[in-house]
Amino acid sequence: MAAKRSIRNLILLSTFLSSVFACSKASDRWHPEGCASTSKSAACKTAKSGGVGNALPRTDPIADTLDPKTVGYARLWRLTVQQFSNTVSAALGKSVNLVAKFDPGSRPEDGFGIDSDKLGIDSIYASNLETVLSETLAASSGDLVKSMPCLSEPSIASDCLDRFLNAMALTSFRRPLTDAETVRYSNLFAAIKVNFSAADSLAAVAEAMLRSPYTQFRSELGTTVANNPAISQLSPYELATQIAFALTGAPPDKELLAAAEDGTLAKKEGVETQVRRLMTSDGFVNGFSDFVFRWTGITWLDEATKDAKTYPGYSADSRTAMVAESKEFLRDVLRNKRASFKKLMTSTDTTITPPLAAVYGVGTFTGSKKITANTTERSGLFTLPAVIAANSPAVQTGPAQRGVFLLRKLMCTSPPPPPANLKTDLTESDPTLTLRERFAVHSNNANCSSCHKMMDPFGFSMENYDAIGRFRDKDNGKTVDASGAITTTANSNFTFKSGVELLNDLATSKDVQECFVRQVFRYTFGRAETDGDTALINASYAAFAKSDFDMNELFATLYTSDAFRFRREK
Amino acid sequence: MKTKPYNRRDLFKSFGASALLLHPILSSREGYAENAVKKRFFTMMTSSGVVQSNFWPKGNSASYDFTGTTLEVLSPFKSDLSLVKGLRNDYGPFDSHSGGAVSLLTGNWLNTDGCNKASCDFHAGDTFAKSASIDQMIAKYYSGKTAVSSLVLGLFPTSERPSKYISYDEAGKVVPLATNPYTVFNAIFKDIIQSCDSSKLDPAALAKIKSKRKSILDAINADLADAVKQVGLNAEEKAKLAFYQDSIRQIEATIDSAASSTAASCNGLKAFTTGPQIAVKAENYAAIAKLMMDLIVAAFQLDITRSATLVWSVGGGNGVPSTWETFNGQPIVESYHALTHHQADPVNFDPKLKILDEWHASQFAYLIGQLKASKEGSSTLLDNSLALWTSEIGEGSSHTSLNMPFVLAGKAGGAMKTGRYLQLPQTEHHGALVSILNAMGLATVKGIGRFPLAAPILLT
Repeated sequence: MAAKRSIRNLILLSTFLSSVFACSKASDRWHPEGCASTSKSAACKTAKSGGVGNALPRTDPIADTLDPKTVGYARLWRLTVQQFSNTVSAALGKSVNLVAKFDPGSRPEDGFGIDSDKLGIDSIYASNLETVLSETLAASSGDLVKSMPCLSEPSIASDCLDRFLNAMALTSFRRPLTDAETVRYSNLFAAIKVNFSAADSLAAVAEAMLRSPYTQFRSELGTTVANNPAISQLSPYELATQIAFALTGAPPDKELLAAAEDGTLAKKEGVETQVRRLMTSDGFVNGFSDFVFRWTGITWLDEATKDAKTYPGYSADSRTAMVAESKEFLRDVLRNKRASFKKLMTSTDTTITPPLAAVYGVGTFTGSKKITANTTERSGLFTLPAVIAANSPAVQTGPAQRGVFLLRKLMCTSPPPPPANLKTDLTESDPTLTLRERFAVHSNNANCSSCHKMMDPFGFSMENYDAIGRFRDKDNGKTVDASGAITTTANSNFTFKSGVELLNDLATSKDVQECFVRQVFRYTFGRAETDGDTALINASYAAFAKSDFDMNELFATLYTSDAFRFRREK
Repeated sequence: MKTKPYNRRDLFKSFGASALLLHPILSSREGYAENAVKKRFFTMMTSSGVVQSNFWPKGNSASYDFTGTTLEVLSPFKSDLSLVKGLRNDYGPFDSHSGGAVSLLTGNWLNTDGCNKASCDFHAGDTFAKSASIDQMIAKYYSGKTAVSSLVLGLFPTSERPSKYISYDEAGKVVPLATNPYTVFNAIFKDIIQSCDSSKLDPAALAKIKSKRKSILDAINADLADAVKQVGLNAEEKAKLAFYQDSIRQIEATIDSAASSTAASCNGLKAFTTGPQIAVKAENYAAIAKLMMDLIVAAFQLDITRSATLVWSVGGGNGVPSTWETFNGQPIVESYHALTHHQADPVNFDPKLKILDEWHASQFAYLIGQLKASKEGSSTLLDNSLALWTSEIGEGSSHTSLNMPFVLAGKAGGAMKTGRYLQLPQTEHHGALVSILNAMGLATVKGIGRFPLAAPILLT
């Protein structure tokens, strides 16, 4: 993980930064003093008057004419559990995975489960933060001390403690500490040191900072633009935070923090330089995976229980292997397939581990194995076992469930729900039929067919895969029929013999490409698109299309957009 | 999308499982006098109704028998129960699961502001209801008497639709479901249960740990106070911080809590303090359900809350396969909702569903059995409580709102008669909700939801 850095590096960085830049001009209302704690210059003290409503010197002129409707509201956005876990890893300089220690939250009907207005800190979450952090930090307090030799001296010099605090803040608050905060955390250290060891006291300070609202909430408040008071411009640190989490799911690295400090992020070009740099980092594979996993439901794979009798080999190991395979698949698309959306939808190159040997029908092996699956059996992301398993019921293939899933995720449409008080009077079905034959009642019964005709072609196209993603050509002893036709949309009229054929068609369908742009938008901003976002979505699609559907170009367009860099005042 | 700005009070009550926390000193309701009896209210909602043909007792109000019915397992509690047949949860012109869940405890049709379909089974935002549910009304009435005003728990909810939510605050905003028993345990019981093991009790060491925890909370509070100022006039974002402040206050209260464990609660929560944790996964549904019920029983025993709500796996989602139960020797692998819905296979589905209804009855029996076994003075915790098992509709296959299951246990300190089987002509369920509120001590309530006046039909 690129986000993994040693505390020492951060400390060196913060020392460097605070000496070179005596005073950050990067003030905003979330941290209005905006000065590194060590800066005591007169210039800095003057700058501290900045607060709500004060324009900053480095406002992008484009802000003066920006239409408020085209940007989202100023807000606080709580870290997801994954982002929080990545923050703790960065703070400790070693990888910890805290995700399993929190409630997974149920899979949303649609969407990503990250909407900013749905993430709060209730008493259970707050208490869990305490439990998880105190346990994790107790086990790592030695690492905290080792990170700086001066911390292990019997009497810790205050400048040593200051440097520790600033390094923690750059990782967890994603900005330097204010003077008042430095005093606050120094006092906390002293108070705890009365009864506890230096290591325990450092751990307590780290715990307080990681539980602080400045860690838990990403600030997107910005500072009001003088000539256009309905608009606020995100501060360089806020922007660095947004860039880092959007691309890598983790806090900013030192180069990004340096770009925030030296002001280069105030301009679109500076943002683009950092965005393009991070696209080449390992962290980007993590960030892209988080998006894809939430988009396709892999994040909630554990929720999709399978019947042990029908799938005796399916275990937690299988799920772990499926998730790992999916991540390697995405890495391959990003790194070796030029981030091509078409390849995302059609590539059959994948890297598997032994628990997946049976799923792919390959012989036993150890370690990991690169395979190119048969192109008549697989086509890209939506035939990965993880995606199929996460979207199938316990025993059967679930054509209706799969159909709704594909409609939502690839076409950005949902069939209407079954009518209220639906009266169904279905006679018992013939056990010799295939599932598809038994489900034919959905298209023959007028009560059902109005909706099922939308989703069934998508769902039946996947009949070649059982509920854990194994390819099959027989169902109930008869040959699987995965053929069909999509006739219900404007731009996508396809006739196909199999899911692979359909997915190949969908890979170049304008409906699907446009839907993908919307999905990335929703994930990036943690909200649904509105009319005011149409221009950005169209521009993003145009850039995506112009690059022959290179996903990096789509991300670059969105992540350098005005909507990314500015907010609307409430 | 623009959401309705919420004020601090709304958020305070509407986020989180243990929504309201107040130090006793903060509560000073005029004219309030604690009842001699501490009344507790429990609701369990199982979704999608029951198999009607098997559910109700045989016989009539004068003479009835549980043998051979879904309720057979409740036979030992016959004298503790009030069974009410003939109630109707009229959910209006909406999806039965979503409309039914909203109407179940609020008596109000769902809030159409935010529906994206006429049937309202999907809903933007989280203000699905128009008024408070009875569990939250009871919680509010007793807030300040206990550390936590209500526990609102859910077992493997699989849907974001309104259908899984039956608890709403006064503004009609959802009270979210806490789904992990271990995090609920840590938040509420961990400190209290420390005193179960006297060998771990070193008062001086405990005092130091408490002092450290409070110092950390002080620093977080100071950051929060700064952050609130910096957010300025942005009410919605300020509310997020205020909500975190309230959550911190709750942790402070549990650190300060004078409550100490009792032998019964130590025993009841043993699964949390010894042995390996059970993974909170659907395959462990039954074991997790038991943990949830144990938490509720202990919270009642220790008087940590007066209102607890448990929502079982929901209709309208994919539900959870009930593989711990068998039919003809085979585990039941269909999801609960699939069994209740399409009637794709009536020959096999109805018998399976009856088995699951019976399982739910046995779970209710477990909980009220625990309450009955807890002595409180000369009576029992069950005598001082009301426990309700109900569903948002009457029967799944037809999605009818008629004859909703309505099983009450306990006497609410003598306010509710028991040992009864009421067979009413089809009646909207508001009178039953008002009866519960009156019995629980909210004596001035005369109506609820769509009916400002609804006679307390269970109290006459």
